[in-house]
Amino acid sequence: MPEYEDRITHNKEERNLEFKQSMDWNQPETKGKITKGILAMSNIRNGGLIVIGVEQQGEEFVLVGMETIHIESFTQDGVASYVANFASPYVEFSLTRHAVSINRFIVIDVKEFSEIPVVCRQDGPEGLRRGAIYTRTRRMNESAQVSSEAEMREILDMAIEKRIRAYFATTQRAGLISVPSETAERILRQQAEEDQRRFQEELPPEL
Amino acid sequence: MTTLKNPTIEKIHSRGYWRVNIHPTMFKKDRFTLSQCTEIMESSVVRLRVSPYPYLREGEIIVGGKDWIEWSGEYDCYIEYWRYYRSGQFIHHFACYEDWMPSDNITTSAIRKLRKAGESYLSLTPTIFSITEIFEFAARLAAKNAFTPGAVLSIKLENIKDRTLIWDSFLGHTLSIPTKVHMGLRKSHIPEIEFEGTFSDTDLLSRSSELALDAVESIFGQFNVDTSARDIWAQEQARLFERRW
Repeated sequence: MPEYEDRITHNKEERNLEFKQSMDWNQPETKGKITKGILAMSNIRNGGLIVIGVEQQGEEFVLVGMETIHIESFTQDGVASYVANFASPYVEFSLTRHAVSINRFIVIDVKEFSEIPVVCRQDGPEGLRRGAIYTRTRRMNESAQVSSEAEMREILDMAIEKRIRAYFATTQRAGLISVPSETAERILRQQAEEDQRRFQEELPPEL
Repeated sequence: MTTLKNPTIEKIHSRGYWRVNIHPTMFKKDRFTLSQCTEIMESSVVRLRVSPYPYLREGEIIVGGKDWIEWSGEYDCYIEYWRYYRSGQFIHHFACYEDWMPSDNITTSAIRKLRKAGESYLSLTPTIFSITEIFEFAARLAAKNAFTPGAVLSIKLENIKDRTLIWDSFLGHTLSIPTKVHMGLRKSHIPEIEFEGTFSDTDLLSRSSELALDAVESIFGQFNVDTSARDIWAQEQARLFERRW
């Protein structure tokens, strides 16, 4: 199956998958919506995809594809330079064109932030607001400003985890700490062996 | 102990499958509440490919018993069952997707030949991806203090006797096989292959990708593949993190 095809044909929005109907990048509202979507996707675990060319008709998502003039208005450089004006510190994404049957689509694949959450650095179209942190809400699968403590906690947890992992990686590379001594490793293994039976008993025979 | 006859598990066990077991070194029955278990699983799932590791859909996790949550299901050629216990023990059985892929979807001629001859196979790159995802998942659990001070991680491939390890891209792309690891067809001659290790939290947090490569080397070694090709496996692993499947 070609790259992304199963996402394009998924027929249901997910937290990490957003569908948009065909649109012209040159329109300010398009720029606002796509920028908000990219900022939001960068702040969720594993990032996500924005697929343009899928239209919601009632409960269904229909693969109508993009108009030629619309698809040509989107370029990686054009979108990246515009989004860079709004993303602090930065957001990584790729923009590619895909075809399913005779229809064409744009897929924007947004990576999860690498160190600290992405904050909107200036006001812009479609309600983009300086200082706002956008996310994909859990309840509605939409891109919106963080509005609950649970969403904020999730973003902070991700940032903390990244810091912890970076810290341990650096200290281990530097040979400062973290490499368990033979004694510590032996104690850990011994402990694991002692408790192994209790973990095995927890599982039914089939597992 | 609970007796269980789950049709999904029976289906998984009917052909080749993976068994992944991760648990803390220390047993503590009530390490987490059930709602904490759900929260930990939802926030630790690894989504680097189309199908997440482990597979779950938010809102579909169920409380399977008084001490665990679970998810089971099928999608395309993927069949999975996992449980996460209040003790912090994670058990995951999932089918070798290769065994359930419809013949019409197979684009690689070498695999078509194997299929025609009634032989089973294991795809090399997706295997590297899966092992990397397992370690990344373990690292995410470690970041939530799910193991402190350490964890036992075991990966088993079951029902794999006479299975051929083959270099085939996940999405059927044509890959140029580096001559260094041009390996022809390598078969496993044993019914199961296992990798097991005990790791400290800090090891999982700081170098999960390297640990995954150790496991890849160990598992591929049992297919008699050149284990000096670590840099090649690392390149494949990088494709996963960069989402260049």
